[in-house]
Amino acid sequence: MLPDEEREVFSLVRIQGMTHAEVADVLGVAEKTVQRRLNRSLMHLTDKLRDLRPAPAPDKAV
Amino acid sequence: MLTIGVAGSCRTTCQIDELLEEILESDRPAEDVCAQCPDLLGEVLERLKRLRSVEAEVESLFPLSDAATKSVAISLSGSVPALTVDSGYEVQAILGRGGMGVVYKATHLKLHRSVALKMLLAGSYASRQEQTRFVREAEAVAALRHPNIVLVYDIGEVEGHPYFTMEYVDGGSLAEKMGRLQSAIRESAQTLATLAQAVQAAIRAASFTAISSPRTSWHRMDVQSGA
Repeated sequence: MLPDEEREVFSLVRIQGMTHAEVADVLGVAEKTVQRRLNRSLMHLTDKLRDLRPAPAPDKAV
Repeated sequence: MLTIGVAGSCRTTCQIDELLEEILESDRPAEDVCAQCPDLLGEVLERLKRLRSVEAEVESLFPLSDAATKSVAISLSGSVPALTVDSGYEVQAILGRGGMGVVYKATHLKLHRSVALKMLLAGSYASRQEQTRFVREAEAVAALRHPNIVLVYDIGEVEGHPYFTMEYVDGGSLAEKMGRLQSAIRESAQTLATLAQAVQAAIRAASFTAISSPRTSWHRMDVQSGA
């Protein structure tokens, strides 16, 4: 579902519970790269889940 | 013509992706990031709203560890000072992060009282359902009176971010406490009994919400085993 680099970072941070610094150390990349891959993973997930989450109806004033 | 149209569509999609990335990396408002291409602002805001919603669900399924939360605090620091000016509170630290938002330790500037300030991270990009649930959580806790349930003091909004403040307790989170108690059976049982009493009080008040989790349950050192 996600490209390898994004899936790797998502798994290490979200599932393994590692900090960005730890992941950066493990992968040999900058912390900013870790954050960027996480952001992209979120963007990909949002796109992939779009079919399951149709746009909500416009809010109506109560 | 069709080729040009498809190429134009791809270029727009790439542009929107780049703008979204810029917003996520810089924490700058979408209006600011899209200043050079205002025609894309509407689509960017719509995508951002969807993304925040998915982010909240990811957070509820895979919450960041306490250590990871501390690194998030740094990235959020840019949005904290606004609280000082507009709400009468001064934020001092991040206590934790849940599915819907972040909890800060803050001080009420006039009363000089420490509070736990919970803020809906998605702010104005949160759906009406999420905003309603957030307010309902504050109302539900505010209706409770129990020595093991924190008091809700105040509710408000800063720059589109709803928040409410609660009694600050300094015993650490339940998750931290349980980590220390793995081998202390008696103390674990006492903690469980205390939690059960609080949950029972909430159920009696018919307003128990999904607020009770190891990361959002905080305890007082003085009443943790006595009530």
